Amino acid sequence: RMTSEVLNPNVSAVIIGFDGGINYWKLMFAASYVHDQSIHFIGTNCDECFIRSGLVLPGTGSMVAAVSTAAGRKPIVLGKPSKFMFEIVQKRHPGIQPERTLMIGDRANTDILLGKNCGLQTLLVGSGVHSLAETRAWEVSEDGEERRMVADFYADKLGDLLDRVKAL
Amino acid sequence: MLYSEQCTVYCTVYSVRHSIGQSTLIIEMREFGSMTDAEVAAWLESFDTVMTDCDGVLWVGGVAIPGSTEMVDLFRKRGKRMFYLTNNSAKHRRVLKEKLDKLGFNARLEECTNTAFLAGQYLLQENFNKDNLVYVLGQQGLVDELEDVGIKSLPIGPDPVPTDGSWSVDGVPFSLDELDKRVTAVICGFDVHLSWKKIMLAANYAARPNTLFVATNTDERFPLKGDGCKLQGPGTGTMVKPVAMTAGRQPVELGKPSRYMFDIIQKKYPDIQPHRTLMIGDNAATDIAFGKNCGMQTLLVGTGVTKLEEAKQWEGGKQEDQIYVPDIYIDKLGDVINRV
Repeated sequence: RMTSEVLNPNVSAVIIGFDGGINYWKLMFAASYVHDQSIHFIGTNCDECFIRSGLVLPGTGSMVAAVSTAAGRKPIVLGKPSKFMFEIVQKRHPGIQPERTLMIGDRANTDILLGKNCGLQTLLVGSGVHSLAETRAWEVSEDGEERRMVADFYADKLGDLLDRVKAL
Repeated sequence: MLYSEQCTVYCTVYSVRHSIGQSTLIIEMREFGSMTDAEVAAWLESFDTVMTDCDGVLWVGGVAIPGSTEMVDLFRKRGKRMFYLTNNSAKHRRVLKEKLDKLGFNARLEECTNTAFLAGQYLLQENFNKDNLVYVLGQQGLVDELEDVGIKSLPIGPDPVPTDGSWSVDGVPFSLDELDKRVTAVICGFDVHLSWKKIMLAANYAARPNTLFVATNTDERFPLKGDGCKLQGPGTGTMVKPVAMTAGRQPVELGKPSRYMFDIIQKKYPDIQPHRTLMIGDNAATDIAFGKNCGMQTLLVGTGVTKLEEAKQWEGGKQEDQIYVPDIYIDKLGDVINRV
């Protein structure tokens, strides 16, 4: 039997990051804290999943979604594609010009969208999550959000640039 | 004469409201207290079958809500057929029947439907090969209901990620080959033993070709009982979402507001007519939407999840919210008795 007394009155923020130890009770506590709208609700990132040795593994995004669903409230998400990461870097290095910055990534809905959100040039590599075939499909999609995931350039892997650049 | 005129007026208003095309459907919610005695009498005569949600309508926790047992008795005396519904999948239907009996509702097992039972029905309907196995993210009731129809599952229960450091974001000491080849269905229900490893396993099974992916229900949360209790209990929806997101695939949803529960009951009792069936519930997003999806009359009670103020906001609001607006709102089910 549990009552609200198990909630610590000194908690004023909940941060969800990657947690392999996630369980029902953690979901319950996180959701119960953020149900109070005065408490900050932060997700480090919303990558849904990632691949290791052919297995698809639950990412932080899926854990954030679980808490968000239980609490009926959406978090502030800090990671890509939110501009926050670029803004923090640019604050430390004010000379960075977005139009002269190249964003390289393997995941279109985080990396490439970050690039688009911040006015950066974008390069998608095929050595990770997303592929050239998927990009071609987004190019002709009716969904504006999907079309935004199309990078300026594509390379199978980052190292493929080397041969072309060495010769220059 | 007056009675039948009133009855005609009620039925005409009802049918006109429901014959308007979806794009211009305007739902008016009546508050029970504002209905005349003649309207209440006509309403009682307008349905032959009652389907009711249990938690928040008949009882809260382990205590019957005052007047609910008397109301169910009244429905029976008036010749209405009763069905008891729940989106719960953790326990077998017989446990639901035991609780109904214990609190004075006198139910038969055939009148009880939960989503664990629906899972078995759905797999049978999909011609699930009984030589294969189901990966269950759920509790004993789900396993037992599957067993009742001859379907076997992998073991359930706690399956946490080892804390020896062997499991990390860099990789896990588990390979695709270790997945059981006999698994051709994944069922996600309520599981208090939810873990990252179970989400991973469910998602990898569900991502395989020719694998059924089923969610018993997607209820998001339920308030925990107790005075001023601010704890939010995560519902099955919070478990289904991580699996679906990781698998990159959406499951078939069996529970309310999907109409599957109604279809299964109607298959067994073909003379049930939706427009002469009353759906009673406390949760507009599941119960009332379910009633509307199946063409039933709907009654929202105020003793559970959805409050009158919310229902009123939907009433004048967006078109997509109209599915949550009940025909009638009543503070508690037992309030009907004083008017009859």
